[in-house]
Amino acid sequence: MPRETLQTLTEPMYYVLLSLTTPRCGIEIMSRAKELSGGRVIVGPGTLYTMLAKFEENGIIVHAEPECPDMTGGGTKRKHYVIATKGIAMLKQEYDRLARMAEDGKSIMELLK
Amino acid sequence: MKKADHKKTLTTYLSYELTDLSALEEYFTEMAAKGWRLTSLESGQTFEACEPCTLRYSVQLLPTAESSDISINEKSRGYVDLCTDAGWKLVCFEGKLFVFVTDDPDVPDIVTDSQEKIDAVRKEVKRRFLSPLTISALICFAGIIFRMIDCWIHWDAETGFGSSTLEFTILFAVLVLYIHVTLFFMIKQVHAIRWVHHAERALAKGERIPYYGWHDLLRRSRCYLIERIVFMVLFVALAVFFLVLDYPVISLIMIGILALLVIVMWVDRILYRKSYTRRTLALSFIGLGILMVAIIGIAVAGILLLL
Repeated sequence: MPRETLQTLTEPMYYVLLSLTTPRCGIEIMSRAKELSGGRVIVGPGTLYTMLAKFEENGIIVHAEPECPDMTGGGTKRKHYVIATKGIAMLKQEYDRLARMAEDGKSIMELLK
Repeated sequence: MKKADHKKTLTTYLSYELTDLSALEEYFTEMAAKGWRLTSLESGQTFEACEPCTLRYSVQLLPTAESSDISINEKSRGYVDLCTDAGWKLVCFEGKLFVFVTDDPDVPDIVTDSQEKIDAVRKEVKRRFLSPLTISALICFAGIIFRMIDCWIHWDAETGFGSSTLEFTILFAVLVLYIHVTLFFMIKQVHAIRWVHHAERALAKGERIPYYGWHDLLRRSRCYLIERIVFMVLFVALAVFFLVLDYPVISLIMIGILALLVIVMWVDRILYRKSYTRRTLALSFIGLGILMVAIIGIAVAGILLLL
């Protein structure tokens, strides 16, 4: 995952960042990303670990205290993450890009119907 | 393949490369279906008898681990914990290679990004190529060639089999063995680079990544076995060659080196089979290193005295 690839988020990255608007640990991120995408995007634990490490290295996410330590069932041992200001900006940028793309294609898609 | 029915264990000695991770997964799944569950990757692949079952294996090259790791480091622990939370169980690890297993077909794959798998192989190949060992091996290679040229230039035609001839012959023997080992290593690395290139092209085209199957692994493993036999035969042939040339000391040293290699492999196997502490293992290896240096020193002193 070279640094420049973080300029545009991949689909799993986008859903992982969406999942991190509240502090979550790895397994919670995986299930939240799956839930948000309606089961379409599945992020494996290895892929998630690498992704989180890169995000953290680039200041996109930060470590966080869990909102409720008991919610993971395993206590506070698991690392929790939350999106950082830089990450929110990236997420907004990506959302705008996707929205613009959908808007741009709207008229064409209506013609195709 | 060695079978020990009384212990209900089975050990196979497949040689695998960085590009064989999927092939290993297939192989372990196949063995589980036959009633052999993987327990260890140290000194071959050790299996334990079990009821034939359907298991999913995942073999991962952990970027957070080091080849010299004998216990799981903190970063790798985070990776393993996340996999455990997701439903995978760590079976064993050997250096950077970690083997996970699950019997649940619904658990997601550990790596769901194909590019990540290719990147892991590419990084490891690059690391091996640029490792201090490879660089020092290349410097040694240049040194041997340089010394051989020097011997050739200063050849003493009148005295015939003089000291320069002896040195030249020794250097030639070392060079033959060295080229054999280095070439084999290089071929493996080039093969891995080619695989990375093909895999990336396939990924870009949206085609299936050309992972090797376990049948390819078995076939290649047989080739490696033949290569090892050839190496041994070559080594012994050279020892005989020196004996014929009337250099029994060199011949004895070569046989000694071969015996030492076998002893080191045997000690390594015993040490890894037992769960010794890191300190005991480190001390054992230091002791073994001192012993080897002492043996080589005595051998060199013997040659000098004889000459």
